[in-house]
Amino acid sequence: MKKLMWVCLILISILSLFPFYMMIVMSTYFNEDLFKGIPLLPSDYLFENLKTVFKSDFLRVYGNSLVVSITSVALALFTSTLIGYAIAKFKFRGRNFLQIFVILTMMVPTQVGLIGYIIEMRHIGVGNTLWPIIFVWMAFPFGAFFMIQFMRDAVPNDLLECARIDGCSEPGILLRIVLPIIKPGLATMATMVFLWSWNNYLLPLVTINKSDWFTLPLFISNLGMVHRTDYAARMAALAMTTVPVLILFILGSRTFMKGLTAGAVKG
Amino acid sequence: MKTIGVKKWATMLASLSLLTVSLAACGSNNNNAAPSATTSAGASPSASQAASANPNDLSGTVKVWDWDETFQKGMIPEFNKKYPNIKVEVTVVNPNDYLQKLQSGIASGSDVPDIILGESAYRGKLFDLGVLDNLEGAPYNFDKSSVLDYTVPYLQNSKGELIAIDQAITPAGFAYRRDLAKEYWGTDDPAELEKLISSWDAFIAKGQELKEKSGGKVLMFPGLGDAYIVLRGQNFNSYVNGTDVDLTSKLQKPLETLFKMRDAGILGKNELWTPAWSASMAKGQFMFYPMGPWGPKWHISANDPEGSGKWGLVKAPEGGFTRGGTAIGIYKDSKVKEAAWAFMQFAYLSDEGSAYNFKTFGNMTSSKAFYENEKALIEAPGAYDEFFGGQNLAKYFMENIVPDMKGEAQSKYDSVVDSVFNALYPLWTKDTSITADAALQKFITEVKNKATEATVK
Repeated sequence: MKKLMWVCLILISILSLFPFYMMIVMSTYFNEDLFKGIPLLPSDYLFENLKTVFKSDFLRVYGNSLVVSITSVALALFTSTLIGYAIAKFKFRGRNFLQIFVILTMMVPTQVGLIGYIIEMRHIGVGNTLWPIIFVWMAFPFGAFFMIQFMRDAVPNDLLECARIDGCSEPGILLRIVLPIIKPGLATMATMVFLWSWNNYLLPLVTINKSDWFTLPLFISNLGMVHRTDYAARMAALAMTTVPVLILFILGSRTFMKGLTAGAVKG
Repeated sequence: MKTIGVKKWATMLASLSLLTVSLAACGSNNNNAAPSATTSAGASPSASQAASANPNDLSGTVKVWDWDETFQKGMIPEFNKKYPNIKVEVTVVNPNDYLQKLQSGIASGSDVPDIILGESAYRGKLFDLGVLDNLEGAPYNFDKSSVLDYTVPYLQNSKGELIAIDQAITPAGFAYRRDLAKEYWGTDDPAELEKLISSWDAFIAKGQELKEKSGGKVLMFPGLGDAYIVLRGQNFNSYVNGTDVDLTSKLQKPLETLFKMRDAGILGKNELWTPAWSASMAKGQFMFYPMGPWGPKWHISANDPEGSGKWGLVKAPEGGFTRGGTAIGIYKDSKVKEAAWAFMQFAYLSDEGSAYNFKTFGNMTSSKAFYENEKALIEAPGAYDEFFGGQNLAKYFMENIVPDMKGEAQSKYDSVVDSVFNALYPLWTKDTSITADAALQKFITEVKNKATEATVK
């Protein structure tokens, strides 16, 4: 039985890792050789592909994406934690309404609000910069919802009461007691927001009109595009785009898993 | 849990102020980031006031969305030699996303380029949006008799206004493999080949012969898509009248010929633009690829970089057709219309710009004057003539293919028809029991589904 389990695990691992392997191998080929057969072994064209990628400002684009994703994560965590803490742990008028409102906004697809959002951004005066694709994570309904649920399940009210009785200030309670408890939740959300903003295509596509502000998905879709699609160069860029995220996920996977299962069993 | 008290309100206020501070920080950062975007808007008005014959007097920043960055990077410095005060800013936009990006830009009132490109795939839809200026009016006063006559219908909207110019003309013939033609048909001379495939029946017969002689290794076209481009393109009849879409008159004959070819087994099973399709050029599995003047650079030599000397150009059976093509217009609310027009004229119509364009990229302008004034340039070997076995491609296009070209009116239904075809032909490739008639009926139904307001027959 154990053997069977191992075989299954190995098989599934190979199946899910194979595309990553293919991506890396494909980035070492000359584009037109890619489709002559299934490329299983690395070839010798990696350097040329990297040249194609780097000759078009890849580092700046990479920087843009990093700035966007990191800032988005920071802002999303900040607002979601505050909303979550307030709604889950305080009683005040309009609390239920707020919670329903958060869920309602979750139900509106991004595409529907897109034009309105762009108009809003333009009026704030940040059209055609990186800000619109960062700000979108600041009012992030799913994050707020996630944090409300997480706080409700993971942070015991008695603990907060104890802290208050012991004379801890309210900001102190949040920073010293609540934050350490919700670390797995924060890590989970950080990973998700990072991934989503890292891979976001539609919003940057419609809001960014200057090559200087391109993010990675836009850049890759524009790479080697004129009448001939340079898949090999795209794969090289994609590999460089995916690997850091992969590493991030592996590093955070322990806390990530904890976050996803938190509250599943109540003690 | 306890009810919120004064202390808590204070805390919440504190966190709110923290949020505001962080927001304000974002705002101030943004001021550093924004100038590049604002300068262009600030510089704009000067251009619209300065309508003058002296190129130095025109100034402003012209925004262009283009997918071909190489072209713009080459052309803009040439343009600036003559117009030093006009700045041209290029944003690279994937043609697949172009219309969506443009529409959301217009709808939200944010950035819209001054110069808008309409690729053949969405040109009819773009024309129908009503966002392009009439180029025959002021301040452009463009004379449509100055461009090749057959191109005019491709540049007009349904009201008959001329709202664009051609990036380059796209009359098309076949790129063919000289080595294969010589091996199986005994000749690689374009004039001889023209005679061998003078009609579609002759083409099919030759294809069967080719298939037999090569033992099925070499076929005529890579797939149904390639053949359809030619057959549909050769039917220049307009099929749209308001919301009446007459597919039967447009597609019946092309589909019949297409299915005849499929049943004769002379077409491959590749879908257009797939990796396998691109790779087939270097492999020598197919004799013909439909090709316009942009093809030698972007299509053939890009996919078969070691194929120099192996390729030739011949006209299609029963006449020319168009392959691709991009219309270029000016946004009707642009603030730099004169400057934008100066760039368009220089890059796509003027003798100097066209000469540079032709020499560097092999693009052929639609301006009649160019072919009169720069005869020597057309006669001289072009950038890709060597690749095509020393054949003078430009001359062949102009003398053998352009004369029997006609124009085809553009319509917003074109892209619907194209997308329906693209969705259907893979099935026609696989399921050979589908007949031309059944295919046409299915085609009509699908177009009806996608264009519900139209009467399709």
